[in-house]
Amino acid sequence: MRTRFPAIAVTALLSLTVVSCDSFLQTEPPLDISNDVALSTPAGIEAVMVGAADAMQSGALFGGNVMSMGELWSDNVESNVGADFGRLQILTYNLNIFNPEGRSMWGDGYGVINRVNNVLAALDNVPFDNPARAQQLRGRALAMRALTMWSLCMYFAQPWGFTEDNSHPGIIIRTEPTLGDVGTQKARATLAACYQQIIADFQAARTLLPPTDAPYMGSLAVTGLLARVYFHMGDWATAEALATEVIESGVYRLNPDVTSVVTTNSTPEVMYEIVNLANDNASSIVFDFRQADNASPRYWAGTPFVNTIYRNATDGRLALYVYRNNRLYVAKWDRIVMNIPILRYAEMYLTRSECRFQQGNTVGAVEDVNVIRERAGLEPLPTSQAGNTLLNNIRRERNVELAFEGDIFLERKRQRRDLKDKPWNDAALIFKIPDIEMNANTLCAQNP
Amino acid sequence: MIRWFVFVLCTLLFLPAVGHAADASISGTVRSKDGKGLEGATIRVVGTALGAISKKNGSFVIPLAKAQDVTLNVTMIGFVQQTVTVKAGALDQPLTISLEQDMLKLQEAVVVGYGTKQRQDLTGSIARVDAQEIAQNTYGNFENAIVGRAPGVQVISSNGMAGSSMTIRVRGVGSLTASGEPLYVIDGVPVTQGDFGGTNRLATQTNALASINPNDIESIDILKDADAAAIYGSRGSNGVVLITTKRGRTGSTKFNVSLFGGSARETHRPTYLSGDEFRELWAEANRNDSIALSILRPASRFTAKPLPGAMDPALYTNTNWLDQTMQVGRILDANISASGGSEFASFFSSLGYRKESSYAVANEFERMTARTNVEVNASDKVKIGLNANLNYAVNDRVPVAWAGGIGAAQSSALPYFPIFNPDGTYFEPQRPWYAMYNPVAQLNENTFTNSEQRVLANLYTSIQLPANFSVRVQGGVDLFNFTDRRYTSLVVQSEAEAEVRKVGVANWVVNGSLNYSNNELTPDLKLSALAAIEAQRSDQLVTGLVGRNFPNPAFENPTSAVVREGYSFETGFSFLSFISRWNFTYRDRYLLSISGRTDGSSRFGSDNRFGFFPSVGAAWILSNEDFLKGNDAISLLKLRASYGLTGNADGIGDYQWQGTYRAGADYAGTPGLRPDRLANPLLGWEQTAQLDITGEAAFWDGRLQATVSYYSKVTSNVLLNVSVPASTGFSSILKNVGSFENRGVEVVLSGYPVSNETLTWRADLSIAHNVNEVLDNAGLPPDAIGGPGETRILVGYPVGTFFINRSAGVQSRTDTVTVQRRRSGNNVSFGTDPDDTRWAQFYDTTVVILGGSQLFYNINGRVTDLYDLSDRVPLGNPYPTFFGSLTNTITIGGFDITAMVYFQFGNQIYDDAAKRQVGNLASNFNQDRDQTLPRWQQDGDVTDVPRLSLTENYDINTDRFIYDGSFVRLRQLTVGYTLPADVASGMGLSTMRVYVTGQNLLTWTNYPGWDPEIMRDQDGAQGRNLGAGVTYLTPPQAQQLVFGINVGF
Repeated sequence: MRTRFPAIAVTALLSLTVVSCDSFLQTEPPLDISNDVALSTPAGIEAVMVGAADAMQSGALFGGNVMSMGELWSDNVESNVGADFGRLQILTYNLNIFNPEGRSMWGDGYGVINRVNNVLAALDNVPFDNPARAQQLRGRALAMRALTMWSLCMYFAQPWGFTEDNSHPGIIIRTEPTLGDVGTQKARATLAACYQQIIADFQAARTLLPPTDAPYMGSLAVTGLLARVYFHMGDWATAEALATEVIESGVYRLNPDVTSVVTTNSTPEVMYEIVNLANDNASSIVFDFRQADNASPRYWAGTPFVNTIYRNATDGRLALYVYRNNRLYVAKWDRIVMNIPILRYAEMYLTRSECRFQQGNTVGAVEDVNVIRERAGLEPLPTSQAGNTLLNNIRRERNVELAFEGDIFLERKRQRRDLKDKPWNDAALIFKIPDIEMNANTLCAQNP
Repeated sequence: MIRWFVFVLCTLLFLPAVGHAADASISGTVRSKDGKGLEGATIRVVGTALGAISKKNGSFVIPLAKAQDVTLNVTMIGFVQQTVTVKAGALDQPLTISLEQDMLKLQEAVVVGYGTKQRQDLTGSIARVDAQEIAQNTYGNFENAIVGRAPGVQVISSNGMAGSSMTIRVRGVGSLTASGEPLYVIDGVPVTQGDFGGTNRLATQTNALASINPNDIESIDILKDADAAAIYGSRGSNGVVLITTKRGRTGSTKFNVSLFGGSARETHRPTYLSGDEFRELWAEANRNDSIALSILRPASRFTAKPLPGAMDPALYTNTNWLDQTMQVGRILDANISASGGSEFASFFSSLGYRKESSYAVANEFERMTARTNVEVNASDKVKIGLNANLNYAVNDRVPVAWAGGIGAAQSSALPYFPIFNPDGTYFEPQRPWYAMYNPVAQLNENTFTNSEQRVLANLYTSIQLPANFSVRVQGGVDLFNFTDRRYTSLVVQSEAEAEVRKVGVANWVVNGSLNYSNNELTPDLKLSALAAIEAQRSDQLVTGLVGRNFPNPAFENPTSAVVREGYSFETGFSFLSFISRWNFTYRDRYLLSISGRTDGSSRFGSDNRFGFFPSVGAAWILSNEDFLKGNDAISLLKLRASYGLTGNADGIGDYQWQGTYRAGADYAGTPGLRPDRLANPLLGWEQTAQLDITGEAAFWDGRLQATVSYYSKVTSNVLLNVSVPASTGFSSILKNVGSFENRGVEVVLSGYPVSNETLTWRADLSIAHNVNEVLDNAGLPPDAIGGPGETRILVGYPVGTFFINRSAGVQSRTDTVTVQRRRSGNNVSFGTDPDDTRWAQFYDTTVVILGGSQLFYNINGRVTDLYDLSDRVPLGNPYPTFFGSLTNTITIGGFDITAMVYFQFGNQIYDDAAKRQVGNLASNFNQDRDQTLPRWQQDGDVTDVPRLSLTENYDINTDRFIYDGSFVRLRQLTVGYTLPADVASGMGLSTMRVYVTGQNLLTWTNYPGWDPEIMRDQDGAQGRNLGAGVTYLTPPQAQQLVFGINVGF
């Protein structure tokens, strides 16, 4: 027996090693799911899709800043931002790479893009029992990527037309998911290339999505947003055709009352909105404007806007403002928990109105702008109106209707008009590419 | 795997025992040089399995098979081994063997991990603290016993509170962002260590090792260099602390009772303003502001700022909040142990109890421990042993620093606040930070109790095989069960809150080793070798329930709350290791040691699963060479050098290499997932390459001994969160990129200036010098990796250097001054590169500077009046350049005296609270009296404390608050008296000793705060590594005075 001990001991020791050494050292995290597991099933992909929408909901993006930061740059807004570091930089045109609003918009924006890229990559690999559902998810993902890229272009790149061929820097185009520390550095594409990607994504999404897909963008919402893109590019005919497509679908209608779009969630006028719930509420725009229980919110309407809206004392939209302490406070963003409209039907008429005007169809232009005017309780413009008078009326109407929803920032740049005392193409009207990008991406060019 | 282990163990258990018979015998007595009989000496008959252990009076008898010439080998711990030859004819005459005290301790068995080595065979650096030294420590944890006794090992208590956490740095700081603490191994089991009290609660951490009873420990061996620590592979970089518990020795059963009790108080207490003084200075600040306004903006109207608290002036009083929150703590520590053994089995068994309160009111620690270690000689070839330890500890914790308690008493509880309102209710100037205004209410009404139950057990079998082989199989468990109970009263907070939190850690380890040992492989060559396999797994589960708002204030359990919230957390890791070690000794003078360990861990990335950690050490014992042999003066001369690799795997969080998704990204009521972490399949251990060169010398049989070591440790692959472009959707990835270096010298001198029968005087001096420098921080900007108190990781500077603005003093009188200002005022640091073009944005201007204004040096070294974060520069070193101890031990007659002086020099302390406590009343903190009173008061005053103001922003970091952290302290003073043996035996005892010990009785330092020995422990691993020199209301060390008695029978 004795002589066998070494043999037994050695066997025992060897067994200790051989017994599934790999499984002993390979452990799954109990609180997380590894990448492979997360995206291996249709249900997993759905969950990451939801996560992408959650990223869009961020206050740094469509929960508010995508709309409100542009307003702050414009003369629509006067403000008392106190010592708020990021907003002070905007107001003093002293932006740097640490601007917290710029950092969070960039970071969260690319958070959305990476999540949808993961979804898109997984959709190529995971078979669905219901292929239509896979198509729908793909459409959602592409629409979210396009809208996010578009908004980032607005804030981090000079606008369309800044250079003749739009060869100036846009943003970084990412269409593949980032899984590890490989190929993370990438240069900015030209704005033309960015727009090409945005349009391609929106176009693809249009064909993949059902007409409506709340709480996501349906094909009509995508069509409306694409109209916005072409409108910004000055492609009047395409923008008009897309707006007409939405209007003729008959799916949406204007609320009879101008206030209900912000006092009630999901009214028939809303084409795409960010859904906030009491236990999942990320809106930042409400924090900036809300006056209902705050005697002095930090944003209020600027003098030029006050003069514009008070030109018509009968404007029903005055119900969306409160005059107090010699200031006109904005009551559009007054509910602590509210859905944030990103695209509403009224914009379709306003966009088509100017498109028609630009193409010489003044009668059609007046017809469209009057739809909005009449809803606001204003006299319709005479069908005979034309020229600069009409153009100014259309643009004034657009500003009043879409005020404090971020539209003015896009419009002034499109119209090549000053924002306060800075020309439309001034370097101080866009964010710097933030440190969180520049520190680790030597290929990325900075804004001057 | 477990099954195999059990199988092997069972097989071994049933080995047949072997017996033998006797005809002749040899007998005698073993004595010490002074003639006392020595009990417990081992006498072995060389070449046979025969032997005996000397009895109480030193006598022994060994039966022999037949009368023959015998050679006896006599060994006893603490004495030089002796060999005696007896002729067959002389067997009937009783022998007297006289043993000499071993000053060199060359034969002392040093624990090296997976075995022991005799000290003379060492090729690496190992510091040893023995049971006698551990017994002198009156603090509750064993780590404190290491202070001053292990050269190059810095041991710091976080504070002097009962149950406090500890930090140990072996040869300098071991990491940047990951754990810098050594690996603790108790009887071969790497144990659960660290803080389980939850992140950032009470501004202190808990110590999982506090439940270990120091009285059970036979030795603490600290593996310092690669030669020693590489056997622990990927976990050896920060050093390894090997704890060996006490064993029974063959001989009659001995009982030992030790009992001590005493008091504990803070080492030092700074003084703060009284209520009247605070109000006077507040008025002075308002006057200053009024004058300043009249000069700078004459048109403006001045409004005085009211005293904080908005209270009825009739209630103004003088409350010394420190007197209310501090006390004299009480210590009671009792231990009883029994140990003994026969040829068949030996055992050590102990019960321990300790209860202590600290200088902090309501802070208490109580511990009950039981241990039994048994070893059975199942046959002459087979040994089976069990070490089992049950611990229970309860710690009543109190908040400190920013969390309240003493921290509030010295800061936010203003001295004119009363404790109680006239109607007897607690005074409450303002909610919701009520607790910070009235720490008495907080300490009285809230509770925060941890309890810890722990089972540490291991079972082993060793078998002597033929041909010099032996096998050892060991399995150990460490079951750690920790409970937090927290209750925050309605009196202190708008809503009562209770929490119960349980942490369970199940940790097991199994190893098997094959040993070979041959002292005569060839006549000149000794070889011992080891091959081993080890598997370890540790799983942690945290569950808790928080409850808020109770129907009746009598409820203190969250289950009864109106609002309840539960949570759970789980994590775990595993290691699989292959170990080998080869020791060659040629002609007793050339030593070579080669060791290697391959570690695989669940914490390492899938493409980097196994790491190999080799080391090689060599030694040349010159004193055994012929040309020195027999030299009367030189007893030992040894040169050794080693080089090897070790790793730090304990700093990598579990699962960190895996790319993961996390729940919680919900939208519109639908649950969603978000990517949480980028995968890094190459993630691995931090790696340290260490060179050690040591010379050892001993003269006159060890009367004088000296050891000098030089080491250089370069740690690379340091874990840093490296930025990735945000356009990836992530901000950073954990990578092995940085590097830093520790290099230093350790000098130990010890000797016996006097050693005779009546007086022994031993003196030990150890000095360690360490230089720490960051070599590579992956190019991260200064603010990317920060620690508490503006500490940073900057290339070319020590880890945790302060990155801070420089004060240019205080303007003496109102005058026009030329200052340099910066054009664009963005408060952003570009880095430390002075050639960066962005700095070129300065202009000179002449401005009126008011008397008493704080001035600064800008980045160009020019005086400026504006505080700008871009002007920060690296300053100071949080780690001492020299530290060590001088210990004198004198035994004279029955008396023994031990005095240990501990010192450290060259480090700086940044007092992060001083900017609010030195002349800054606007902070609404009480002020350090000695530092505030020399403030600027009128034109012409020359001081560095600016004029008091309630409008100036003084809440800024400047080098005014960097202090010299050097100190010298009388760490320990013990005076004991041992009864003469005959008196003791007259009382029926074998020994009796009474003693008095004082710890931290005296401190010499220029540091004005509580205590220069600091360790801000609240911030996790990175904070500990970087914040070594930072304090923020950190409580002081404890001073203890205890009386004790030891009785053996």
